[in-house]
Amino acid sequence: MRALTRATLACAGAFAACGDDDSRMTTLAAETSSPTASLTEVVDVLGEIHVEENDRVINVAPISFDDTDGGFLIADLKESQVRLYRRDGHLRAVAGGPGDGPGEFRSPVVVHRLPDGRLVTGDFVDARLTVFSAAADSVLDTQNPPLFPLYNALPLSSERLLLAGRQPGALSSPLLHVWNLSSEEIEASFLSVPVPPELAATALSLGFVGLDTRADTLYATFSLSDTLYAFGLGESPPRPLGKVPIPIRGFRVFAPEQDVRGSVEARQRWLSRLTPIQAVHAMPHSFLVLFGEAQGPENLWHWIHFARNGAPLFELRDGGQVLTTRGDTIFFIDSREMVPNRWKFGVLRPR
Amino acid sequence: MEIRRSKTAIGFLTILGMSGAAIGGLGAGGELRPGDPTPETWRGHDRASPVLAWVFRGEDCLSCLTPAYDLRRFQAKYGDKLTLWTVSVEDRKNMAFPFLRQERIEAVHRSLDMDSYHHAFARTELPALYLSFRDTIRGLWRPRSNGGGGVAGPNPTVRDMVAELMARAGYRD
Repeated sequence: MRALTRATLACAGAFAACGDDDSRMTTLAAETSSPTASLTEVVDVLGEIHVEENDRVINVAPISFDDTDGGFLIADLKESQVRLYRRDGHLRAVAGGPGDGPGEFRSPVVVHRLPDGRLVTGDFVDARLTVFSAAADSVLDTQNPPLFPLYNALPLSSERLLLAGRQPGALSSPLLHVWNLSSEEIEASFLSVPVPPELAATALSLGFVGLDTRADTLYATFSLSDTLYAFGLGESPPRPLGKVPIPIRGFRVFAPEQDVRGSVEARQRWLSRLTPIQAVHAMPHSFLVLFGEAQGPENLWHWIHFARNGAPLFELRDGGQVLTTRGDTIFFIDSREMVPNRWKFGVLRPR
Repeated sequence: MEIRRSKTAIGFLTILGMSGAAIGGLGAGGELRPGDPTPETWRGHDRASPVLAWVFRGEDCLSCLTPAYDLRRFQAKYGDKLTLWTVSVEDRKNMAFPFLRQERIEAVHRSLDMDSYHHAFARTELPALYLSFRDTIRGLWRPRSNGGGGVAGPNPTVRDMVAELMARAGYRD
């Protein structure tokens, strides 16, 4: 379960300043849409988790991943830090800090536990991978896949990672790559950028990839496409299984109408009109997709819940950041709380 | 160094809602600079312990290059022993409060228009981070990148100076 943060959106917006050209507006929209709902209508809240903090650990932009023991692994892009938490929110370990040295990060966006127990992190800015010991108390390796930026990653095995990122300098770069941690090579690349040509430059600067797996199927979303892509993980490279339209209401992605590279405010005006897809969670019988909307320095998290066949279930505006899902249980930061170390968990009500 | 009475102190007095005499001191060229005397209205606040003032425009909240990382660290380490002020200038879209909340910065915050800013800080370029202690401006910094286009990283100079001044103010780890 992977979720990029508002911080990522903000910094992706900053990247937009470096690479966008003027082009005409293009809006993609699904043919069907979901009924809107409120949080209390769609979630039975079961409890809260107060994530431990101290004078070294402050949760600012947490991105959560599951640990194998039921705990949580956190990558915090703004704090350049990764953390290990028990399932009750007790802090077990901290690693990283700002910098370029071994074990340091610029903007970590992903941390996973490999099947052999090691931890691997990925940095958004330079796509650097860092392999830590199981307790995150020593750095075992650093690797630099030839990608920029790195959006996301998933372990396929102890030897292989699925990386989501762009190959530098290629507008048509595939988005997904199988990275071999032993040979330090890309073994396969797939999923071409799923946008029309007029959005290619925008996709270069405003692209996030959501990833999740269920059983042996990989699910992927791209920020500028209202389509869910499925791949079978039993083959290398993963075999395309199909696509599901995301029944999102008012999906808005388009290139800037003017050059926004020189103006923070112009860039923000453009970003505030977009609703890019940011994450996908493959639940037992449905999908929960998050899409964002920038409001000043903040990002609103909207939820779209739909059945496996694409039938819409509900759409929730400003539901908060969904950190992870486990079975039918979702863990999220309630947008009304606005405190990223106070999480809620609950189940989606049947509709 | 020119010490002049000006509206500067009055401006900051208004901004921060403080009481005190409005006798300010600005450096040559009309900007606050390291080594300049602290404006009168700051003095009651920076005498016992340092004052760190982050002055920015609303649009600066949209940048990755802010001192938020350092400010969080200072707050976590020193708590209310270190006085932190945030001042937003021309925040037409009210970005400051969401930004400070999102960045988890708790500070005495005020907003002011550009005229008031010029009265208080003359033509000092924005954004800026001021460190003041015992009636003297000790530091003035601009945000800087961590080198990779991501969020701004820590500024060791700020950290070291704050630590030094906090120690002189009697703070012990």
